[in-house]
Amino acid sequence: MTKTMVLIGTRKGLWTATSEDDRQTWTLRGPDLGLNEVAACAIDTRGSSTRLFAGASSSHWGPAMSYSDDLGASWTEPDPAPISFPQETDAALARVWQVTPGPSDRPDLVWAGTEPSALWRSEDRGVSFTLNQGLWDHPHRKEWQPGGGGQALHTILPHPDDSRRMLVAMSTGGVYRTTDDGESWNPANKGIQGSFLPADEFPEYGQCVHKVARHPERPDQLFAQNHGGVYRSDDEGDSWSSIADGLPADFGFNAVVHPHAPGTVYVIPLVADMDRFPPDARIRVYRTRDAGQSWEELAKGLPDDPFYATVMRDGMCADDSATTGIYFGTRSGSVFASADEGESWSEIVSHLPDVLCVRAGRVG
Amino acid sequence: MAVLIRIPGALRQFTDNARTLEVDLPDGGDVAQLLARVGADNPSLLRRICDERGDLHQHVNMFIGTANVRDCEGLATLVPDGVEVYVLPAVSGG
Repeated sequence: MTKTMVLIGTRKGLWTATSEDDRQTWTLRGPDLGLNEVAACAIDTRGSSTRLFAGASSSHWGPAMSYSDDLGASWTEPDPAPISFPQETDAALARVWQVTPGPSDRPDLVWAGTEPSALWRSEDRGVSFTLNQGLWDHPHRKEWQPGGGGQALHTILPHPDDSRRMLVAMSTGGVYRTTDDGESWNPANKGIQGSFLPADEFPEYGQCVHKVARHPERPDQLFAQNHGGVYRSDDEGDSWSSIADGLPADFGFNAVVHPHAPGTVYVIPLVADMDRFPPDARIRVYRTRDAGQSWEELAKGLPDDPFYATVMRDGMCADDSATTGIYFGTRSGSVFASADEGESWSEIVSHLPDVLCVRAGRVG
Repeated sequence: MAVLIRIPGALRQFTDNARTLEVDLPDGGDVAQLLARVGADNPSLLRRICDERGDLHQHVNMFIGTANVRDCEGLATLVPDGVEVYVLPAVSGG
Protein backbone atom coordinates (compact mmCIF):
# COMPACT_ATOMS: atom_id res chain seq x y z
CA MET A 1 0.00 0.00 0.00
CA THR A 2 1.30 3.44 -0.85
CA LYS A 3 1.59 5.73 2.13
CA THR A 4 2.41 9.38 2.47
CA MET A 5 5.30 10.08 4.79
CA VAL A 6 6.43 13.37 6.27
CA LEU A 7 9.90 13.54 7.77
CA ILE A 8 10.07 16.15 10.50
CA GLY A 9 13.53 17.22 11.56
CA THR A 10 13.61 19.13 14.82
CA ARG A 11 16.06 20.63 17.25
CA LYS A 12 15.89 17.39 19.22
CA GLY A 13 15.44 14.47 16.90
CA LEU A 14 13.50 13.27 13.89
CA TRP A 15 9.84 12.29 13.75
CA THR A 16 7.87 10.66 10.97
CA ALA A 17 4.19 11.24 10.28
CA THR A 18 2.56 8.65 8.07
CA SER A 19 -0.85 8.58 6.44
CA GLU A 20 -2.45 5.53 4.87
CA ASP A 21 -5.73 7.20 3.96
CA ASP A 22 -4.65 9.82 1.44
CA ARG A 23 -3.53 12.30 4.11
CA GLN A 24 -6.75 12.39 6.10
CA THR A 25 -5.25 10.99 9.32
CA TRP A 26 -1.67 10.71 10.45
CA THR A 27 0.34 8.46 12.71
CA LEU A 28 3.31 10.03 14.42
CA ARG A 29 6.42 8.07 15.34
CA GLY A 30 9.62 9.24 17.00
CA PRO A 31 11.87 10.62 18.08
CA ASP A 32 14.66 8.99 16.16
CA LEU A 33 18.28 10.07 16.30
CA GLY A 34 18.07 10.97 19.97
CA LEU A 35 18.72 14.53 20.93
CA ASN A 36 20.33 15.32 17.62
CA GLU A 37 19.44 18.50 15.79
CA VAL A 38 18.18 17.42 12.37
CA ALA A 39 18.66 20.33 9.99
CA ALA A 40 18.35 18.32 6.76
CA CYS A 41 16.34 15.32 5.69
CA ALA A 42 15.29 13.72 2.45
CA ILE A 43 13.06 10.96 1.09
CA ASP A 44 14.70 9.23 -1.83
CA THR A 45 12.22 7.05 -3.72
CA ARG A 46 14.47 6.32 -6.67
CA GLY A 47 15.69 2.84 -7.35
CA SER A 48 14.27 -0.35 -5.94
CA SER A 49 13.75 0.81 -2.36
CA THR A 50 13.11 4.01 -0.46
CA ARG A 51 16.03 5.50 1.41
CA LEU A 52 15.63 8.22 4.03
CA PHE A 53 18.45 10.62 4.82
CA ALA A 54 19.06 12.74 7.90
CA GLY A 55 21.75 15.27 8.51
CA ALA A 56 21.95 15.24 12.28
CA SER A 57 24.14 17.01 14.75
CA SER A 58 24.72 16.39 18.43
CA SER A 59 25.76 19.36 20.51
CA HIS A 60 28.10 16.97 22.32
CA TRP A 61 29.20 14.41 19.77
CA GLY A 62 29.29 16.39 16.57
CA PRO A 63 27.59 16.14 13.18
CA ALA A 64 26.64 13.00 11.31
CA MET A 65 24.93 11.85 8.16
CA SER A 66 22.64 8.85 8.49
CA TYR A 67 20.30 6.87 6.27
CA SER A 68 17.47 4.43 6.77
CA ASP A 69 16.32 1.72 4.38
CA ASP A 70 13.35 0.65 6.51
CA LEU A 71 11.38 3.90 6.63
CA GLY A 72 13.02 5.06 9.81
CA ALA A 73 12.79 1.91 11.90
CA SER A 74 16.58 1.91 12.09
CA TRP A 75 19.31 4.30 11.02
CA THR A 76 22.81 3.69 9.77
CA GLU A 77 25.74 6.03 9.96
CA PRO A 78 28.37 4.64 7.63
CA ASP A 79 32.00 4.23 8.55
CA PRO A 80 34.03 6.16 7.66
CA ALA A 81 31.97 9.32 8.08
CA PRO A 82 30.11 10.02 4.81
CA ILE A 83 31.05 13.71 4.87
CA SER A 84 34.50 14.59 6.13
CA PHE A 85 36.57 17.55 5.04
CA PRO A 86 39.94 16.59 3.55
CA GLN A 87 42.89 17.39 5.78
CA GLU A 88 44.26 20.03 3.39
CA THR A 89 41.12 22.16 3.79
CA ASP A 90 41.75 22.61 7.52
CA ALA A 91 37.98 22.60 7.89
CA ALA A 92 35.58 20.48 9.90
CA LEU A 93 31.96 19.63 9.24
CA ALA A 94 29.66 21.66 11.45
CA ARG A 95 26.26 20.75 10.04
CA VAL A 96 24.58 19.12 7.05
CA TRP A 97 22.15 21.68 5.69
CA GLN A 98 20.80 19.95 2.65
CA VAL A 99 20.44 16.50 1.10
CA THR A 100 19.28 16.39 -2.51
CA PRO A 101 18.75 13.12 -4.38
CA GLY A 102 19.93 13.24 -7.97
CA PRO A 103 17.92 12.46 -11.11
CA SER A 104 15.79 9.36 -11.35
CA ASP A 105 17.99 7.76 -13.98
CA ARG A 106 20.99 7.95 -11.65
CA PRO A 107 19.67 6.52 -8.39
CA ASP A 108 23.06 6.39 -6.72
CA LEU A 109 23.77 10.11 -7.18
CA VAL A 110 23.09 12.24 -4.09
CA TRP A 111 24.14 15.80 -3.28
CA ALA A 112 24.70 17.42 0.08
CA GLY A 113 25.28 20.98 1.24
CA THR A 114 27.04 21.81 4.47
CA GLU A 115 28.35 24.30 6.93
CA PRO A 116 30.98 25.51 6.24
CA SER A 117 29.63 26.25 2.79
CA ALA A 118 30.50 23.31 0.61
CA LEU A 119 28.89 21.07 -1.97
CA TRP A 120 29.31 17.31 -1.77
CA ARG A 121 28.61 14.57 -4.30
CA SER A 122 27.91 10.92 -3.59
CA GLU A 123 28.00 8.22 -6.24
CA ASP A 124 26.97 5.45 -3.85
CA ARG A 125 23.63 6.77 -2.65
CA GLY A 126 24.92 8.70 0.30
CA VAL A 127 27.37 6.25 1.82
CA SER A 128 30.36 8.44 0.95
CA PHE A 129 30.66 11.96 -0.42
CA THR A 130 33.37 13.87 -2.26
CA LEU A 131 33.96 17.58 -1.79
CA ASN A 132 33.34 19.77 -4.83
CA GLN A 133 36.74 21.36 -5.10
CA GLY A 134 35.75 24.04 -7.59
CA LEU A 135 33.36 25.71 -5.21
CA TRP A 136 35.57 25.12 -2.20
CA ASP A 137 38.48 26.88 -3.92
CA HIS A 138 36.35 29.78 -5.10
CA PRO A 139 38.14 33.10 -4.54
CA HIS A 140 34.96 34.59 -3.09
CA ARG A 141 34.96 32.10 -0.22
CA LYS A 142 36.85 34.34 2.17
CA GLU A 143 34.12 36.97 1.81
CA TRP A 144 31.15 34.69 2.41
CA GLN A 145 29.94 35.28 5.92
CA PRO A 146 27.76 33.22 8.23
CA GLY A 147 24.17 34.29 8.65
CA GLY A 148 22.34 33.88 11.91
CA GLY A 149 22.12 30.12 11.44
CA GLY A 150 25.70 29.64 10.35
CA GLN A 151 27.54 29.63 7.03
CA ALA A 152 25.24 27.35 5.10
CA LEU A 153 25.03 25.95 1.63
CA HIS A 154 21.35 25.20 1.86
CA THR A 155 20.03 24.96 -1.69
CA ILE A 156 21.11 22.53 -4.40
CA LEU A 157 19.32 22.58 -7.74
CA PRO A 158 20.75 20.24 -10.35
CA HIS A 159 19.58 21.10 -13.85
CA PRO A 160 16.95 18.54 -14.83
CA ASP A 161 18.17 18.20 -18.43
CA ASP A 162 21.87 18.98 -18.34
CA SER A 163 24.01 17.16 -15.81
CA ARG A 164 26.80 19.71 -16.21
CA ARG A 165 24.66 22.56 -14.93
CA MET A 166 23.75 23.21 -11.32
CA LEU A 167 22.76 26.08 -9.08
CA VAL A 168 23.50 26.38 -5.37
CA ALA A 169 22.64 29.06 -2.84
CA MET A 170 24.15 29.95 0.48
CA SER A 171 23.68 32.32 3.35
CA THR A 172 25.52 34.47 2.97
CA GLY A 173 27.16 34.32 -0.40
CA GLY A 174 24.16 34.18 -2.67
CA VAL A 175 23.45 32.14 -5.77
CA TYR A 176 26.25 30.44 -7.71
CA ARG A 177 26.06 28.41 -10.90
CA THR A 178 28.22 25.92 -12.71
CA THR A 179 27.90 24.93 -16.34
CA ASP A 180 30.90 22.59 -16.42
CA ASP A 181 29.94 19.91 -13.93
CA GLY A 182 31.24 21.81 -10.93
CA GLU A 183 34.69 22.66 -12.22
CA SER A 184 33.99 26.39 -12.03
CA TRP A 185 31.30 28.51 -10.40
CA ASN A 186 30.04 32.01 -11.05
CA PRO A 187 27.79 34.21 -8.95
CA ALA A 188 24.27 34.67 -10.32
CA ASN A 189 22.75 37.42 -8.20
CA LYS A 190 22.17 40.31 -10.60
CA GLY A 191 19.09 42.15 -9.40
CA ILE A 192 18.99 40.64 -5.91
CA GLN A 193 19.29 43.28 -3.25
CA GLY A 194 21.49 42.98 -0.20
CA SER A 195 19.59 45.47 1.87
CA PHE A 196 21.59 44.64 4.98
CA LEU A 197 24.84 45.69 3.31
CA PRO A 198 26.27 49.08 4.17
CA ALA A 199 26.92 50.42 0.68
CA ASP A 200 26.55 48.41 -2.50
CA GLU A 201 23.00 47.12 -2.29
CA PHE A 202 23.21 45.12 -5.50
CA PRO A 203 26.60 43.43 -5.20
CA GLU A 204 27.87 40.72 -7.49
CA TYR A 205 27.71 38.30 -4.56
CA GLY A 206 27.27 38.31 -0.81
CA GLN A 207 23.49 38.27 -0.71
CA CYS A 208 21.70 36.28 1.94
CA VAL A 209 19.51 34.13 -0.28
CA HIS A 210 17.31 32.02 1.96
CA LYS A 211 15.90 29.56 -0.55
CA VAL A 212 15.68 29.02 -4.31
CA ALA A 213 13.22 26.75 -6.10
CA ARG A 214 12.45 25.74 -9.64
CA HIS A 215 10.18 23.41 -11.54
CA PRO A 216 11.92 20.71 -13.59
CA GLU A 217 9.72 21.38 -16.61
CA ARG A 218 10.76 25.02 -16.65
CA PRO A 219 14.41 24.91 -15.63
CA ASP A 220 15.27 28.46 -16.64
CA GLN A 221 12.69 29.90 -14.27
CA LEU A 222 13.83 30.30 -10.68
CA PHE A 223 12.17 31.68 -7.57
CA ALA A 224 14.16 33.06 -4.66
CA GLN A 225 13.16 34.05 -1.17
CA ASN A 226 15.88 36.43 -0.09
CA HIS A 227 16.76 38.02 3.23
CA GLY A 228 14.39 40.78 2.18
CA GLY A 229 12.97 40.37 -1.28
CA VAL A 230 11.17 37.73 -3.31
CA TYR A 231 12.52 37.32 -6.83
CA ARG A 232 12.08 35.48 -10.09
CA SER A 233 14.61 34.75 -12.77
CA ASP A 234 13.58 33.69 -16.26
CA ASP A 235 17.10 33.09 -17.50
CA GLU A 236 18.46 30.58 -14.99
CA GLY A 237 19.86 33.27 -12.74
CA ASP A 238 21.39 35.66 -15.26
CA SER A 239 19.08 38.31 -13.83
CA TRP A 240 16.41 38.57 -11.16
CA SER A 241 13.31 40.74 -10.79
CA SER A 242 11.19 41.40 -7.75
CA ILE A 243 7.88 39.58 -7.52
CA ALA A 244 7.12 40.83 -4.01
CA ASP A 245 4.20 43.06 -5.03
CA GLY A 246 1.07 41.55 -3.63
CA LEU A 247 2.76 40.02 -0.60
CA PRO A 248 2.27 41.55 2.84
CA ALA A 249 6.03 41.45 3.42
CA ASP A 250 9.06 40.44 1.42
CA PHE A 251 11.03 38.78 4.21
CA GLY A 252 10.85 35.06 4.84
CA PHE A 253 12.73 31.84 4.47
CA ASN A 254 10.72 29.54 2.21
CA ALA A 255 10.13 29.05 -1.47
CA VAL A 256 8.43 25.87 -2.63
CA VAL A 257 7.40 25.24 -6.20
CA HIS A 258 4.34 23.13 -6.97
CA PRO A 259 5.62 19.82 -8.35
CA HIS A 260 2.98 19.62 -11.08
CA ALA A 261 2.45 23.27 -11.94
CA PRO A 262 5.34 25.43 -13.14
CA GLY A 263 4.78 28.97 -12.00
CA THR A 264 2.92 27.99 -8.85
CA VAL A 265 4.99 28.85 -5.80
CA TYR A 266 4.39 29.01 -2.05
CA VAL A 267 6.02 31.36 0.45
CA ILE A 268 5.43 32.28 4.09
CA PRO A 269 6.02 36.00 4.66
CA LEU A 270 7.49 37.46 7.83
CA VAL A 271 7.39 41.16 8.61
CA ALA A 272 11.09 41.99 8.30
CA ASP A 273 14.54 40.86 9.28
CA MET A 274 14.32 42.85 12.49
CA ASP A 275 10.72 41.79 13.06
CA ARG A 276 10.59 38.10 12.36
CA PHE A 277 6.95 37.43 13.01
CA PRO A 278 4.07 36.70 10.65
CA PRO A 279 2.32 39.92 9.55
CA ASP A 280 -0.45 40.84 11.98
CA ALA A 281 0.65 37.82 14.03
CA ARG A 282 -1.26 35.49 11.69
CA ILE A 283 0.59 32.56 10.15
CA ARG A 284 -0.35 32.50 6.49
CA VAL A 285 0.86 30.85 3.31
CA TYR A 286 0.89 32.83 0.09
CA ARG A 287 0.60 31.24 -3.30
CA THR A 288 1.16 32.53 -6.78
CA ARG A 289 -0.15 30.65 -9.80
CA ASP A 290 1.29 33.04 -12.36
CA ALA A 291 4.97 33.04 -11.46
CA GLY A 292 4.69 35.94 -9.07
CA GLN A 293 2.48 38.38 -10.96
CA SER A 294 -0.15 37.98 -8.26
CA TRP A 295 -0.42 36.34 -4.86
CA GLU A 296 -3.29 34.92 -2.85
CA GLU A 297 -3.46 34.36 0.87
CA LEU A 298 -4.14 30.79 1.98
CA ALA A 299 -5.67 30.82 5.43
CA LYS A 300 -8.45 28.25 5.68
CA GLY A 301 -7.74 26.06 8.67
CA LEU A 302 -4.71 28.02 9.86
CA PRO A 303 -4.86 29.58 13.34
CA ASP A 304 -6.50 32.97 13.69
CA ASP A 305 -5.03 33.37 17.14
CA PRO A 306 -1.88 35.43 17.48
CA PHE A 307 0.95 33.32 16.12
CA TYR A 308 4.56 34.32 16.61
CA ALA A 309 6.48 31.25 15.51
CA THR A 310 8.41 31.24 12.26
CA VAL A 311 9.14 28.62 9.63
CA MET A 312 12.76 27.79 8.86
CA ARG A 313 14.13 27.70 5.32
CA ASP A 314 13.59 23.96 4.88
CA GLY A 315 10.48 23.92 7.01
CA MET A 316 8.08 23.87 4.04
CA CYS A 317 7.76 21.27 1.30
CA ALA A 318 5.39 19.62 -1.16
CA ASP A 319 4.59 15.96 -1.66
CA ASP A 320 4.37 14.18 -5.01
CA SER A 321 0.73 13.10 -4.90
CA ALA A 322 -1.54 13.73 -7.87
CA THR A 323 -3.28 16.40 -5.80
CA THR A 324 -0.27 17.95 -4.22
CA GLY A 325 0.09 18.21 -0.48
CA ILE A 326 1.88 21.17 1.08
CA TYR A 327 3.42 21.04 4.53
CA PHE A 328 5.13 23.41 6.90
CA GLY A 329 6.59 22.99 10.36
CA THR A 330 7.05 25.80 12.84
CA ARG A 331 9.55 26.68 15.51
CA SER A 332 6.73 26.16 17.98
CA GLY A 333 6.71 22.46 17.14
CA SER A 334 3.64 22.21 14.95
CA VAL A 335 3.28 20.77 11.48
CA PHE A 336 0.46 22.00 9.27
CA ALA A 337 -0.61 20.08 6.19
CA SER A 338 -2.80 20.71 3.20
CA ALA A 339 -3.97 17.82 1.04
CA ASP A 340 -5.48 20.15 -1.55
CA GLU A 341 -2.60 22.28 -2.76
CA GLY A 342 -2.94 24.80 0.03
CA GLU A 343 -6.67 25.50 -0.17
CA SER A 344 -7.24 24.21 3.35
CA TRP A 345 -4.98 23.27 6.24
CA SER A 346 -4.96 21.23 9.39
CA GLU A 347 -2.47 20.87 12.18
CA ILE A 348 -1.29 17.27 11.99
CA VAL A 349 1.40 17.43 14.68
CA SER A 350 1.74 19.59 17.78
CA HIS A 351 4.16 20.18 20.62
CA LEU A 352 7.35 18.88 19.05
CA PRO A 353 10.66 20.63 19.55
CA ASP A 354 11.18 23.46 17.08
CA VAL A 355 10.91 22.14 13.55
CA LEU A 356 13.91 22.73 11.30
CA CYS A 357 12.99 20.82 8.17
CA VAL A 358 10.18 18.79 6.63
CA ARG A 359 10.11 16.54 3.58
CA ALA A 360 7.14 14.60 2.25
CA GLY A 361 6.57 11.90 -0.29
CA ARG A 362 4.75 8.73 -1.16
CA VAL A 363 6.51 5.59 -0.05
CA GLY A 364 5.76 1.95 -0.77
CA MET B 1 52.70 1.73 28.28
CA ALA B 2 49.04 0.79 28.60
CA VAL B 3 46.65 3.69 29.08
CA LEU B 4 43.20 3.15 30.53
CA ILE B 5 40.49 5.36 29.02
CA ARG B 6 37.14 5.61 30.79
CA ILE B 7 34.22 5.86 28.36
CA PRO B 8 31.00 7.72 29.22
CA GLY B 9 27.72 5.88 28.97
CA ALA B 10 26.59 7.73 25.88
CA LEU B 11 29.57 6.43 23.91
CA ARG B 12 29.54 2.82 25.01
CA GLN B 13 27.45 1.87 22.00
CA PHE B 14 30.75 2.26 20.14
CA THR B 15 32.74 0.08 22.55
CA ASP B 16 30.42 -2.92 22.79
CA ASN B 17 29.29 -1.47 26.11
CA ALA B 18 32.79 -1.58 27.53
CA ARG B 19 33.32 1.04 30.24
CA THR B 20 37.03 1.26 29.60
CA LEU B 21 39.46 0.92 26.75
CA GLU B 22 43.08 -0.01 27.15
CA VAL B 23 45.33 1.58 24.56
CA ASP B 24 49.04 1.08 24.01
CA LEU B 25 50.95 4.33 23.84
CA PRO B 26 54.70 4.93 23.60
CA ASP B 27 56.30 6.43 26.70
CA GLY B 28 56.13 10.20 26.41
CA GLY B 29 53.05 10.04 24.18
CA ASP B 30 50.49 12.82 24.18
CA VAL B 31 46.70 13.08 23.88
CA ALA B 32 46.81 13.47 20.10
CA GLN B 33 48.75 10.23 19.78
CA LEU B 34 46.37 8.54 22.17
CA LEU B 35 43.36 9.61 20.11
CA ALA B 36 45.05 8.48 16.93
CA ARG B 37 45.44 5.03 18.46
CA VAL B 38 41.78 5.05 19.46
CA GLY B 39 40.71 6.07 15.97
CA ALA B 40 42.80 3.44 14.26
CA ASP B 41 40.73 0.73 15.91
CA ASN B 42 37.49 2.59 16.38
CA PRO B 43 36.84 5.47 13.98
CA SER B 44 33.18 5.70 15.03
CA LEU B 45 34.20 6.43 18.60
CA LEU B 46 36.89 8.88 17.61
CA ARG B 47 34.59 11.08 15.59
CA ARG B 48 32.29 11.49 18.59
CA ILE B 49 35.25 12.83 20.53
CA CYS B 50 36.88 15.08 17.97
CA ASP B 51 36.34 16.44 14.48
CA GLU B 52 38.26 15.58 11.33
CA ARG B 53 40.90 18.17 12.19
CA GLY B 54 41.53 16.36 15.44
CA ASP B 55 40.05 19.10 17.61
CA LEU B 56 37.91 18.03 20.54
CA HIS B 57 34.23 18.74 20.06
CA GLN B 58 33.24 21.85 21.96
CA HIS B 59 31.33 20.04 24.67
CA VAL B 60 33.63 17.05 25.05
CA ASN B 61 36.30 17.14 27.71
CA MET B 62 39.29 14.92 28.25
CA PHE B 63 40.92 14.64 31.60
CA ILE B 64 44.37 13.21 32.26
CA GLY B 65 43.82 12.16 35.82
CA THR B 66 42.23 15.28 37.27
CA ALA B 67 43.63 17.71 34.71
CA ASN B 68 41.42 18.97 31.89
CA VAL B 69 43.56 18.98 28.75
CA ARG B 70 42.01 22.33 27.78
CA ASP B 71 43.72 23.79 30.85
CA CYS B 72 47.02 22.13 29.97
CA GLU B 73 48.60 21.81 26.55
CA GLY B 74 45.49 20.70 24.73
CA LEU B 75 46.09 17.69 22.52
CA ALA B 76 49.82 18.08 23.13
CA THR B 77 49.32 17.29 26.81
CA LEU B 78 51.54 14.39 27.78
CA VAL B 79 49.97 11.22 29.14
CA PRO B 80 52.05 10.00 32.07
CA ASP B 81 52.40 6.32 32.79
CA GLY B 82 49.80 4.99 35.21
CA VAL B 83 47.30 7.85 34.85
CA GLU B 84 43.73 7.15 33.80
CA VAL B 85 42.16 9.17 31.01
CA TYR B 86 38.51 10.27 31.14
CA VAL B 87 36.24 11.30 28.27
CA LEU B 88 33.54 13.45 29.82
CA PRO B 89 30.67 15.22 28.09
CA ALA B 90 30.06 18.70 29.42
CA VAL B 91 26.97 19.19 31.54
CA SER B 92 25.36 21.46 29.00
CA GLY B 93 22.40 21.81 26.71
CA GLY B 94 18.73 22.45 27.24
